[in-house]
Amino acid sequence: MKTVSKAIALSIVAIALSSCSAFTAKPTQTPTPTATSSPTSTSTPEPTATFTPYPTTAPTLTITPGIDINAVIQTATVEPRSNKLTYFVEITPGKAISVKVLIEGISQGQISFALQNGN
Amino acid sequence: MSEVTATNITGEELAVTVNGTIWKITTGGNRILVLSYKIEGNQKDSDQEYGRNISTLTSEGAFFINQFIFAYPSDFQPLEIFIQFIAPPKWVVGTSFVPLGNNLYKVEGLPSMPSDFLQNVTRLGYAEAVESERCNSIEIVFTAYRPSQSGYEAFWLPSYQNTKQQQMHEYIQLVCASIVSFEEMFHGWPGGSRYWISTLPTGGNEIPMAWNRWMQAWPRERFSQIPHHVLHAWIWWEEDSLIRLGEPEWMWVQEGIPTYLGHQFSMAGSDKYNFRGMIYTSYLITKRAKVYNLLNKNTVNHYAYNEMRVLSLDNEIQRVTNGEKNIRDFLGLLGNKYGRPEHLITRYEVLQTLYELTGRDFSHFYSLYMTGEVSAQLPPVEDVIGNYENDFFIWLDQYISTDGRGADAKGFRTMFFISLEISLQKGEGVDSEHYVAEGNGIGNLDEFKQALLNKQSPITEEDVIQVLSSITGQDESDFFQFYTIGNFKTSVEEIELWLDASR
Repeated sequence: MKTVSKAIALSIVAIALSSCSAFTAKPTQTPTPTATSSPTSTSTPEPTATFTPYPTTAPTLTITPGIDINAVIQTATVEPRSNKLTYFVEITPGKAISVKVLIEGISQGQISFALQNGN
Repeated sequence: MSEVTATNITGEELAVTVNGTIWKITTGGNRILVLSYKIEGNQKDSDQEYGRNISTLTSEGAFFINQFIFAYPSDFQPLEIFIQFIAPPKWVVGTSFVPLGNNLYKVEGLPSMPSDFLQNVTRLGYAEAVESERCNSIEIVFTAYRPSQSGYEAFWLPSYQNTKQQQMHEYIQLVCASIVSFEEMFHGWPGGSRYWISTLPTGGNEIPMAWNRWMQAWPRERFSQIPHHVLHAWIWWEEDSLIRLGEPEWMWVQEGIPTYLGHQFSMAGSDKYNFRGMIYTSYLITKRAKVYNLLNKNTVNHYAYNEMRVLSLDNEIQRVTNGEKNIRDFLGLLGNKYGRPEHLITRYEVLQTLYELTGRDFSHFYSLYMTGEVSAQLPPVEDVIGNYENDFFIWLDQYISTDGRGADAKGFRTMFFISLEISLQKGEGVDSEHYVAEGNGIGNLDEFKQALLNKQSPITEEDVIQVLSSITGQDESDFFQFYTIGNFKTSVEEIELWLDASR
């Protein structure tokens, strides 16, 4: 892995890097026999999906406004022959959505991006 | 849209040229680039019936179809996509993408990266509750956002006599049971490891995107929409869909099958959700449309009509196989033989599948009842529709017993039929994809009520027929006769009792 960045020692970078290390992690998928049904049969058991209630109050998020996207971007790394997009979506309530796309693993001289609402 | 720039990793600006909706970036040999842009305020393509292109942003939250916010490469396919949301601390991110912590998400890219990423839906905002449950290998998450000021988001009513969390739990269970049922039929699930349910800030309209990933939260009266829309994960018109019929009669597959199997659906071991009676409503709508010569492609209710087509096909498959095979067997075989992305199934392939399943040639039956957007003959369902009568009245009595969508007819069966009759001619009837029994509910009785209140009490059948005819523009003299079902007869006495509450 080649690091192509200026190392910026900000705490936010540590958060970003720990997130990056999870990029390859698969979500835990524990097969548990749960719901079954059939439109024509009544012989299958009733669904028994596991029920894990969340607190009704919104959880406090670790990353909050104030994240230094540029610092995160400047620690970007790329595997040879991989290509990866990371969208940083910063939302200012009632005003605007700012998007920065970190594009890694480019080999072409020109690349094109399109947006559905490209006006 | 503004402030479109591209830089390399050290912040040096790169040339960007705009060609229509495409931005071309000269990379200058850099392997890592940053593209930046800004989207302001609310945007909606109002020409789209369902709001396929929409983004809303208020002080309360944001909601958007992803393709409206996320620029996507035109000339290469990304192998991996991650999204980092940066938003107010108490905003909850709603998405079917895989959470990695700290508001960072990974796009699974199933069945393909662009469809999963761009046709998906995202919402952020203040949540009243979040429920998460596992359904085999799928995590199903329901996020109930604080209702927006203008939007209809009521998936729960106090009259349900439960808590919002219990209602969300029931919802998730129905989604899970639907997935399991149809996954069994098709031998696989076209979605990924996470499925998301959310209330909508857009007025309750359905937004037909990525059914293998997401569903809007319907109120209890519309729970039959749950299996219907789960089935759209396999049967839909996007190129990634497993099953799409490429013939003029495509709607019997596209909506007829989800409507029919959605109504046939039941949760094993539970008699709480019974949608079978709605098949009879589709029958009434279609039969009545025939009376009024409304069975053509521009006026037919495609959901009801095509449900009748599928009912007749299911019945025929069962008849010729002595009950050993049915429409589910047909669909499973059709998906297995011919279902694949970017393939439009042909009429020939349908007939081949039917032949393989039953050993019979269905071409005569198909040409009579299934070809074209609307065939000349009514689907032959008279022999079996009576099986749904009891279920219809069970469903109807539930529908008109709550303060929900049947509230205007609460307690009065006849008023449901009056509303249905009006809807056939005005608004939500045959000229709409949805109808009173599953659409916006009973809400068109005001004119009828006012006109009858102006008549002398007690009113007569002639009064009702005259008022109804003036509203629908049709000769309604057979109303009471047409809507006599089994031992039930629509009655002027019931209408009189209904009017008493307004006198």
